[in-house]
Amino acid sequence: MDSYLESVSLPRAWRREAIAMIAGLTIAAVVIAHADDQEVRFDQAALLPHSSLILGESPGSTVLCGWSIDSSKCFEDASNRGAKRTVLWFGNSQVPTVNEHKAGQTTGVPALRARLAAKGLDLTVLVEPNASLQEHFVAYAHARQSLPVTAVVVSLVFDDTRETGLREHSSEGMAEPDVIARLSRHAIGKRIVERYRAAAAAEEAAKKPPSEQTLQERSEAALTGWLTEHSAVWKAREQANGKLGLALHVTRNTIFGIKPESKRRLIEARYRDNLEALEAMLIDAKEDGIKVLGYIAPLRPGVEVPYIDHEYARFKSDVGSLFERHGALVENLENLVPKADWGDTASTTANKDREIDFMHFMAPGHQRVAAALGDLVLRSVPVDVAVKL
Amino acid sequence: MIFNSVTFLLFLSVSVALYWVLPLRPRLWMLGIASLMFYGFWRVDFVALMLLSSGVDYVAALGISRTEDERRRKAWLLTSLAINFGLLFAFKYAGFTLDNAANLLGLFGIEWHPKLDIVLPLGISFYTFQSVSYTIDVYRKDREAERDYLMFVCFVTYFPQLVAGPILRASELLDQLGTRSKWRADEMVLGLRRILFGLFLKVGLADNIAAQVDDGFLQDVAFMHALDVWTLAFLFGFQIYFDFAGYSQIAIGSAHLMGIRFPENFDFPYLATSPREFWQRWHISLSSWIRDYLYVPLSRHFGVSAGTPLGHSSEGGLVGTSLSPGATRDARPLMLTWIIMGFWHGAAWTFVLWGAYHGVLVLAHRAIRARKLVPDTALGNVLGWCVTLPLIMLGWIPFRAGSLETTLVMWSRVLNPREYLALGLRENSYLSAATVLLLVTVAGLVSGRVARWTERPLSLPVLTAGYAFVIGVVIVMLRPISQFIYFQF
Repeated sequence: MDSYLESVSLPRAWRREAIAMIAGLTIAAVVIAHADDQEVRFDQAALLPHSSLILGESPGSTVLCGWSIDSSKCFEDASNRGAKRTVLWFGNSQVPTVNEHKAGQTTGVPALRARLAAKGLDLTVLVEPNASLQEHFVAYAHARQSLPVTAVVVSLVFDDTRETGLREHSSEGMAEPDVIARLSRHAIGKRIVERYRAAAAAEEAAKKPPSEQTLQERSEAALTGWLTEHSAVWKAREQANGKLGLALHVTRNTIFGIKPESKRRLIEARYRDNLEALEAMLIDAKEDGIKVLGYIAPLRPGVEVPYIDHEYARFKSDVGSLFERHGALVENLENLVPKADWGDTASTTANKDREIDFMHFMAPGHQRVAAALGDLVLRSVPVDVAVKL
Repeated sequence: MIFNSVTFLLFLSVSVALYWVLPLRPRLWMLGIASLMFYGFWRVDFVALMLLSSGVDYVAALGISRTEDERRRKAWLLTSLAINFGLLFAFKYAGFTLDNAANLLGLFGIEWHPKLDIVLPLGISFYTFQSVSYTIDVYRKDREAERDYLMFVCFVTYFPQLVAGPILRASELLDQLGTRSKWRADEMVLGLRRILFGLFLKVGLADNIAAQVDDGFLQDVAFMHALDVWTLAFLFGFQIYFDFAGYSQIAIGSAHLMGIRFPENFDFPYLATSPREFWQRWHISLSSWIRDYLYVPLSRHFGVSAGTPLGHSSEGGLVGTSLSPGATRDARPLMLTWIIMGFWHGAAWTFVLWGAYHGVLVLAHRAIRARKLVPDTALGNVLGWCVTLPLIMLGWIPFRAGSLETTLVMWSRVLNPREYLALGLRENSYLSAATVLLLVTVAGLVSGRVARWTERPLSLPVLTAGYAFVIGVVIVMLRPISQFIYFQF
């Protein structure tokens, strides 16, 4: 014990340490409290200030929603406008984001909506940044509870097959028994539900009614609630946490030289789960007479693709085979948007301001996609023709 | 109560303030009540179980101390062991035993599906060991029996180390509790420093690594390759280290605030140059307990030299590494010790495998040392570290994988050279594992120099910047939903 006591004896200048501790606490508190000054939307952190993520695109009624943000608004408005035959379009951030946005420009949603409306079809668009196909499957099961779905349009992006499961914030509908029941009809759906439940167990514990909570849970809820209400530092924690995460992301990219052109590998286990989810959606929809239409999302031309060639080719081939097997239609729109319609994105490294954007194109590109999808929908709803890629 | 919560920080502040303003006897009452409250914040109903366990040892030790009749002394000891380990078995191992019995019966075509819905009392493995060690010490005449029940309850339930250690001996805590120590500002600063550092390890490092570990182990093992297994093994190894070392730092720091000193529980374990050294650096209080109350007695029972005398403190770790021919030849006490060590961690065959794996590593190291196959030089140490670290990390796979089958599949990937040609995780996982490995190694290597630095006055701006960073991370990331891994044991 004596040697231990020696080893823990404080430096003689312990007062210095106490001062440093208090000063450190003060600095940390001031910095965190100011994290709220400039609020950052972390879902848009990689976009330039003049690029816009446009949700709730009207006119008149909401048709474009973030699945985890305001999908209930879309469902409600579809009901209010008396939608009888809904075309449901799922995509990632490419769908609602207009690169280098200028006043008056829109995504392709209003144009597609108008075109479909002329044929008696209503449009609802649900988007989620970096959405995996598993998340699209859950969003599909969720939306089915509220909308009279006639056709489903799915954006197919290679990057999205590298994601998996449900993220903490992307779990809309997971509390609804009908959604769980629909998902659980498929092996991948069961796995999604199991994983979600395991991950959400702790969160759910916090949402238990007070009578079922432990003393720890109750006291913690009361204390953190009080702190959020009365402390600027505590209130700003979420923004500070996000900004810290962003700083680490930038540091990582800078140190390891990670940029948009860096090759993204296919991650086998995730890839298979995502394709299984896509197939589950195809099977489920087919059983209920719903058309599923897929499109390989536009990709920036004129530069080397950020994927390994044979893996990207495999993705397109696998998706094509899957759609064909289930009598569904898929189109390859990867070359639809010309080079001129692509812009830059905010750099995620410390040594550059801008980087090329592989995902988000400008307004004219959106109109091209809307036109192509309009053709696809109107061609496929009355007929059922499988097209090979 | 969970350390990484606002509730605990408030609770600790109030307890420490009361501790210093109260005279000795009321202080003990306060400590006892505070410790029971600390436990009751999780489940009030299990407070009685803990009091029963400590009550049994209190009475048994008194019984032992009041007689010189060896038979009666042994009877008291056996009563204590039977009740304590009986409770531990009932709560921790009954379900496991019934499940295995059902599986066994299934082999003979008998269908049986026992259903036991038993909640494992928090910290039962820790306080049982601590309480039992006291009774054994009294039986061995290493210490007098404590006559003050309040003091004894404070020893067993002292809240900074109640649910996950360090497992202390009576000589290390009882005497300190019974002394009215003087308030010292430097103890406060040191305690706060350790609490902050512990919280940083937990919420800043362990919880962030946990996300990648959980994600990786959720993945279908069929698509996992050799480098993925290595990566997950290292990541989990770091997660559990930061998690448990963080907990221990907070425990030690909290005790410091009351002028009570705990021995260290971790000492840069991943810098160990042999499996033996690892167990002198990892969870030292448990290793030492196992040494004094299991390994040495078992060795004597089997007539083998344990290579180490019986210790009387929770320091030193598991150092039984006799190079005598008998010790190398007779592996029974060592393997039995390690299997029990594994089983202590959890009621599952994966933990037994983990224990056996470490037993084999220690045996192999004994054989290598006995034959002097590795020179005792700096180069030999580097070589030892290069071999020891990966082996220790691979050992974490059964700890986390969830089943024997998954463990064996994952281990088999590492042994297959063709499995080194593919990758199955996100790139971030590899980067994180490599970065943390580098940082931990560097931190360990320079720790001696840092210690020497801290003996000199440090530059105030540097110290302030360090505290600002650590405190900032703790405030931003403090979330009580993530429990400490060792709470489940």
